Amino acid sequence: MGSHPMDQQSNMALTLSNISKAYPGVKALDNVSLNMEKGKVHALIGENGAGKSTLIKIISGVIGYDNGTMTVNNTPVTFTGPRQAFRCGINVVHQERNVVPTFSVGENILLEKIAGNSFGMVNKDQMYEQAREFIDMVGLQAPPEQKVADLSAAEIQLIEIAKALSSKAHILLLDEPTSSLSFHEANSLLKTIRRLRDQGVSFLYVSHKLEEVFDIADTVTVLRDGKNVGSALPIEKLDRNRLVSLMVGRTENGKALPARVLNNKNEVLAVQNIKSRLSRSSNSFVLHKGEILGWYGLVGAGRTELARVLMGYDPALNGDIFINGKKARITSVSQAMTRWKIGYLSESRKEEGLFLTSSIILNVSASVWKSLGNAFGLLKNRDEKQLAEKYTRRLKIKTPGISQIVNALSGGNQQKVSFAKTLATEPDILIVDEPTVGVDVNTKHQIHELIVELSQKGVSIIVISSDLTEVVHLTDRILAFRDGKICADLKNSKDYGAMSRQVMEKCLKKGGTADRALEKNRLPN
Amino acid sequence: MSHSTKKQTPSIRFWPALHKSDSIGVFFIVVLICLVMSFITPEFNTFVNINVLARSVSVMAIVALSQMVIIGTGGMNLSVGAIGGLVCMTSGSLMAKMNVPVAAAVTAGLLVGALCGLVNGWLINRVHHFTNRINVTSFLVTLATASLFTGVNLGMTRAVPIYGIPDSFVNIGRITIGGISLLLFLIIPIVLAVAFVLHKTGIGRQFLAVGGNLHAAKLSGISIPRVMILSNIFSAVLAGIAAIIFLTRLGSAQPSVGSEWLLFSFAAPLIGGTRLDGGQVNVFGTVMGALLLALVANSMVHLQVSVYWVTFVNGLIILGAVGLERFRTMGSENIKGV
Amino acid sequence: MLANMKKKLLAGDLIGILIILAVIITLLGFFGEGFLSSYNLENLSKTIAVTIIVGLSQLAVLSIGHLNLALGAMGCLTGMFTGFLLQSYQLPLVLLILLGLSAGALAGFIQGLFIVRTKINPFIVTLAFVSIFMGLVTGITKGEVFSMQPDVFKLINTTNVFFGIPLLLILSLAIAAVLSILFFKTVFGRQLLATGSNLKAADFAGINTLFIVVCAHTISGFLAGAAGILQISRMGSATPTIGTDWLLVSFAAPILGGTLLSGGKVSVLGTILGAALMSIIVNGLFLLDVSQYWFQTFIGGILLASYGIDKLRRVYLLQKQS
Repeated sequence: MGSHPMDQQSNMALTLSNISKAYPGVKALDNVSLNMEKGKVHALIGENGAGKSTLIKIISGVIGYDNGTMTVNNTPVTFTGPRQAFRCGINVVHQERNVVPTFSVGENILLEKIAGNSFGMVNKDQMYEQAREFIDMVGLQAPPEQKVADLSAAEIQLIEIAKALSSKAHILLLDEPTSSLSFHEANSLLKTIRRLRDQGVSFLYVSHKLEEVFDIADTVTVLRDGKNVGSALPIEKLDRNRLVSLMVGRTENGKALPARVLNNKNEVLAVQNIKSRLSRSSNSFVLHKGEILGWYGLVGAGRTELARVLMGYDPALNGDIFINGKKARITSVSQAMTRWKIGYLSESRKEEGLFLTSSIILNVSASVWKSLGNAFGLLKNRDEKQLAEKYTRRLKIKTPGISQIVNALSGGNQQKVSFAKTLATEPDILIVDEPTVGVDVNTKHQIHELIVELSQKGVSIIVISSDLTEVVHLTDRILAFRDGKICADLKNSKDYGAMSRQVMEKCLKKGGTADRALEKNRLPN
Repeated sequence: MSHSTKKQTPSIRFWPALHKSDSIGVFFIVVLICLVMSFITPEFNTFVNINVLARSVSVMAIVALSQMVIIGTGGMNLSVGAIGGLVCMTSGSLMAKMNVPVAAAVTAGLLVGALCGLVNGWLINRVHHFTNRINVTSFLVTLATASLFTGVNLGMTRAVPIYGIPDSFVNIGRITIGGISLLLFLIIPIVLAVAFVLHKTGIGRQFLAVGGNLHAAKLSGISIPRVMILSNIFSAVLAGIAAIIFLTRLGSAQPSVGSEWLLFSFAAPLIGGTRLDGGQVNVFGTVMGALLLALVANSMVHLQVSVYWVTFVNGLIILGAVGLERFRTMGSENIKGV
Repeated sequence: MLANMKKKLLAGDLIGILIILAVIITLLGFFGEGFLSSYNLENLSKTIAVTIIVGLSQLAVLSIGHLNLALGAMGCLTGMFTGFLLQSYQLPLVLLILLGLSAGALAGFIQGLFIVRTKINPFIVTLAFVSIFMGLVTGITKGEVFSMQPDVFKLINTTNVFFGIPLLLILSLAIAAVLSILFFKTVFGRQLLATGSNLKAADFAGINTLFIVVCAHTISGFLAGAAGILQISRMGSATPTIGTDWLLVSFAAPILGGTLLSGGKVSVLGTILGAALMSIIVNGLFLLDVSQYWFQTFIGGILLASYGIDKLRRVYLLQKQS
């Protein structure tokens, strides 16, 4: 830190020094420090999986840490739960909304008050009067009597901030606060933050959007792979390029595979202008035989939505899909799997991928029961076991046995089981969505090797990933996504420095056509 | 809706629009049925019939409110009928067999009801495990306690009805004001009290906050165990009051009291615009829902439809009511929640 | 063979209920006057037979994480319909029974279809269907009782096979065996359990989960109907009171047998043991001269105790994992 530690310290709203946190198999945070000055906006940035959410969870008392120290207003603290962090004046405005949808704006803002008042009366007029103060403070354009269920995501966000202020919070953690807001809404939120900052509230602002960071932040902390690569850097001394290179950096683990020249130019999959119920714009692209195609974009850029169209989960509303030159109408998951030989690995293995309370056997065979069964629909346990054995060996799943309940496996091995479930259908086109999120380095390597091996055998693979290193190291070609639209189709030179900057630029670009299209798209809602 | 049109950039709504309370719609249906019935059958509009209706509505409305309180917290109470039966028999036997003064007997009965609620709330807290949702736990617990309470009721009374309820008590049910049964007026303060507790008091708001978003309620420092216990006591006392009113109406204590309360206890609040998921109740709508169900049953009698079909129609009404709500909220779900 | 079986029982959490059963049977053998008499045992096993099927009917929907409050009404509907057929038509018995069973299956099918189509909470749907089915039964029959049964049908109740085991129990165990094969040996059974375990993951595995939900309710209705038919053969007549007291045991038997209510894990053997336990306890209370009026209290108490055990098991599993 600076040469006047005493001066700085007295100004600190929140400090974290040398915080480390390990999960089984993964070191999520490694000696991370963070120093937030009072009345300033401190941005926390980093790629997905850099450890930001772990850090937020530690600050808000949701999880503990292994070592390091933490102070609030220069007093050392240890939190055993979120309520304690709350009492210290730390409040998180989460992406998942913590409001009561059936209550009014005023009541939500003063929910703390209702909680503390079990046996008294609630004077709504008085309450709304009090709430109005906070409503004005955050610049919310809704009366306190309004029901929250009728409000937009942006307004709910403001309610959460107002709620935090009403409970005398002086340190606010904003986690991707503008991710679900329109351009105008985001702007007015930033205005509010600036105003509150000037009134002495300290903000920790977590965002992917660099424009916003430059717009709002006073200082920046950058995380990469769970480590500080920049701590409390003053924003004046940074420029966009510097920040991008700090974020993406070059990581020690994982080497880029040599760039490949694909001889086979067969278009296995050609997609023209497809759009679904959930996707915001229509998209076109092609996939070649044996190719590894990377889909990069920030979270919520519309990649998963597009994948689900191909998977038959959310059938296309218009546009055409050609598979091996034949026009394909994909109407259901089972049809996509059996007829078109498309396999999909879901991004959230716990919610959508695995049967957590069941055995490896059941999980691996789940997608192929129909083909395992005989004419009467009878299954032989032996067939299932053989299948599970095969994939356990092939994917090197570490387990005491194939009857093991999946929930008891480590994250990496769970992901391998999820992989096995997808591979069991022997797909020609494989879409893997965030294949290495939450897995240890070792497993990550193995999964990458597996993907390459499959592509060499002729499987065409789409890798959806928010991990830029992974995308650049692994793929032959990269599609960059931004606001639901494919905004660039780049041949991957595997030169990390050049590629990462190129891709990042495309994904972060503001005010482009995509942005305007987005604004237009939102109007009918 | 009107408020979003004035904004320049309407944006994606986060919560699927919860439908507006539609008790007015139910009210109109009720009025319509009354009008049609008074044209078709002359007996419908007589004092005798109105009092028949008033008496059944007074019990049904309070039972429905008892269920509504628990639905509001995001749970369910399958033991409303069992608690009602137990309270009815307790008060009845105290009055008729032990010559306890009426007021004391009623109080004792309601205390027994409160105790049942305490048992429910306590067990829900004990059995609840965070992998379960609160409605699953309350379903399981009250399914078991319904049997428990009914068992105690039958065990103590040996399923023998109690006659000889003092006239001073039974007469309350016979008093009429301007030709209309006192009981109907009696429920007005109770309905108002329920509305007051749920809308105006801290604990009532806590009930609904827990039902609306358990996680948010917890984070704000609301004690979930306390809410579970107090809401269940409140619900049980209401079920007890319904049983006491039933007792004055009947003039004897029947062990089977409450055995048929379950369906309409859910139907009436749902018809009246209470959300099954919790967090939002509609007291007036619930009373209207009870009135509608009572009216339909009464009309069917007048139209000489066999009494056996009333159950069938009740089933259809509840499906219709919930289906309608479902239909209303369907449009907003095309927008993906962020 | 024996060691293998023991290991299986331990893993399936059945050892607890087996011990409880053994203790209760031993105690009743000593203190329950007439417990071991052939008359009592015959009656008891007939009760167990019906209870097993009732429990399995609930189990079918528990497997997908739903519940069926209307199974009593479905049983009543089927029982009454079959009773009516038996009294009115001189057709082959098998045909009559099949016709009867199809009524139960149809009732379950309608219920399942309604849940899938409207996406209304299954609890409310099945609650409403209680009224609808009971309304149908009472509305059509006006409370009539069908007590004329052909002699062949009466044989179902009176026949004893091997060592005096009632045919009723054999039939019920046979149904359980078929269901067991369905659950654990077929593609369909796997899909049921997968749907109950994680609906989304099942969707992504290409399983048509809507179809599976409808099927689960249809099977539940079919089994409730089967229980209804066994019941009318036991009673010798079809009355509208069939099924009124099934709801509680239908939950108690699977839960006592280790089936989780969150779906995805079922135990057919456990349900059989749970049904046996419930029936034996009730029988024991009867023999010990406990007033019948107190029975419900005991049943409620047993159910509560089973939740306690279920919670302990969950906490234990969670600790073991971390």
